[in-house]
Amino acid sequence: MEISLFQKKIGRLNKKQKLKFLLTKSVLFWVLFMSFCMIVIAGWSLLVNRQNAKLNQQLKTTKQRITQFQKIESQQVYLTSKLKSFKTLIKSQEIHQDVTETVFSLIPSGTELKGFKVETSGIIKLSGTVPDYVTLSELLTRIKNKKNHKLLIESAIINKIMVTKEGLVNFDIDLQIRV
Amino acid sequence: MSKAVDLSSLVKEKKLLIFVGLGLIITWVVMGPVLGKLKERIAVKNKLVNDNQVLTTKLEVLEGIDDVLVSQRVKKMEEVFPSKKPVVQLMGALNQLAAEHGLGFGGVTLRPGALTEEKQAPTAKSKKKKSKETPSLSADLLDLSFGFQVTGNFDDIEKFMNNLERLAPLMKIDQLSLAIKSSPFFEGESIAVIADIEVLAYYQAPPKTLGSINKSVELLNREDEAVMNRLFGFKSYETVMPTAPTGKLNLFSVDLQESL
Repeated sequence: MEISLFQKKIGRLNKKQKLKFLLTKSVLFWVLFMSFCMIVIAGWSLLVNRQNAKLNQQLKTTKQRITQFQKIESQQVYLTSKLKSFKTLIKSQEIHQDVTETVFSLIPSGTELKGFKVETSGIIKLSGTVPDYVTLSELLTRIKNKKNHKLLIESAIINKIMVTKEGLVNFDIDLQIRV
Repeated sequence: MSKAVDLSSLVKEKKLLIFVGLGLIITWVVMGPVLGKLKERIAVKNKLVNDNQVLTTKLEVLEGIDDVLVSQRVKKMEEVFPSKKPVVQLMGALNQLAAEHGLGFGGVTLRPGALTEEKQAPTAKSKKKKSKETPSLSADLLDLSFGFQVTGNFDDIEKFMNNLERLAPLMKIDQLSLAIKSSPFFEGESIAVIADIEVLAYYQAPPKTLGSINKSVELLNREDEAVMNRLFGFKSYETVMPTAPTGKLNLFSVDLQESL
């Protein structure tokens, strides 16, 4: 029979040594793992860097090619910027033209029309002189006759009709044309 | 003394934890910058890929644009909706249109404003008008007022007015006065019409810069194409510019001496 006097101590030492071994192994494994990770990341980083350099080169080439088309680009930018205003202007011009044509068709022969402002809203202040009542009557008939005009006359208000010493008739009419 | 013993026993007990902690810190210290660099490079790559895609698309668009067609359109646009004050063009076009319809042309009133190419602020009147009538108009849009008188028969003046709509440079009738003289022999028949017309011609300076190279090229949509087609319907007259030599001649120039 073998009597061990340091059984407890030996057991503790064994445990400690096992722990040390395990720890050393873990540290070694961790170092290896870290190295592997470092290699992978560094490789990946290098690859990305190479791709970036390639992309940079490609970008430079594309930019150079775009510069060759600068004339066309500036012309296109010119067109699009001007078209925005032009579209609005042309609509407004059309309205002005139609309003003018409508008023033009209202005026009978012998009429003298003072300057009226063409408004996009369609409100026209018509004032002028006609030689006699017959012409005035014709003017009013034309205003009343809605179908014959380019644009519809929604309302007409006669503000003033005045006969001058010379026998001429001055008139002042407010028209609302539908635009 | 007892405190020191406690501390050493505590250290012994937590040894493993301390090791793990140290390990994590070392990992962080070693791997952190490498990972950071990688992350940065990936971000750069993503941006480059994106930029490259945008630029490639832009290049494809630019390659697809018809050079000749665009040049023609720009030329026509400049005739109809000029970049500079169209004083001479406007006067010439109206004069020639009136002559084409056999009308008398005169009584010209011109308010050209500043002669320099400095950017002029729109007048309060025009600002008010623009905000009221056309809210989407560009701030660079400027107008030029031009008054004139045309005389002729009723039909010709009517045709003249109709053709104004399609006359380059683009203008719209702002104010109109009419005097229709009737025949003393035939009732209701007009013999002469005097029309005082005030038109507003528009012009707009082109954009000063193209913007960033990454900015995509805006193409014309269907509506724009329709407007472009209408643009080509505008009639323009060739502006007659004076060609008489001005200033002193250099009598010692080689060309002159050879010709003598």
